[in-house]
Amino acid sequence: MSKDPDKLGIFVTSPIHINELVKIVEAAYRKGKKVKIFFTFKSTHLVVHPDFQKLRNRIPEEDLAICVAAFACEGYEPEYHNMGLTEKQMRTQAFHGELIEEVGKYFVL
Amino acid sequence: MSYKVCFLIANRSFISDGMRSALGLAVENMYSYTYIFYQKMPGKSEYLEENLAWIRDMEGEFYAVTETMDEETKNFNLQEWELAEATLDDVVEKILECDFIVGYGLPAQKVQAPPQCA
Repeated sequence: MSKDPDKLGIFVTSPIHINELVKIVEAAYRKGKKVKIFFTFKSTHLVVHPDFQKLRNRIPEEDLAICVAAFACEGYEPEYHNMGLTEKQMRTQAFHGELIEEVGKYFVL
Repeated sequence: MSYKVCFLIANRSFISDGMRSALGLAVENMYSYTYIFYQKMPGKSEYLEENLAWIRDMEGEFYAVTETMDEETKNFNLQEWELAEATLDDVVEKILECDFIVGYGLPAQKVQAPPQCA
């Protein structure tokens, strides 16, 4: 996968920035950009946040994923608590590597 | 391309998973360097020790930024865990050398972790 200069990568590690995340994604789309997001560790709790569905509905399946191991470590049952995330969106840390390889710009929340 | 990625972890709760994330990039053929600030490493476990060994096998490293640590924390991190030692100047140098910087997790807490955290 080559670099896409119009794609913004966001690595979400903390559970406290959902409001900013939603606004950043909206702003990126307004500018005609794409986003690719990976949630890990405590940020996987955001899956059950009401605003998470805005992201899930807006972002293509292949550009949004959570770390399924972290999700399970945090006490969730991936099969029942996935809030509509597909099997392709339940990933490993390798997704973070793919994201880094693919995006033109990157930051961490 | 083999990117260089620098993980900066200042919050105790995020060390174990930060290590896992750093390893995730190392196995994707990236150079993965992690710096721990202020905090004592978690208790040793076979899983975490294997992760650290694997990171090192992949030419990454895990550092304790010792000038941010009290003596007990520094000794635990260097002697028990055998982390590499780094200064703040080393961190700055590595940040300038790296392609991606990951401030992993929440900032350091001002409060001491209460016993309930155990």
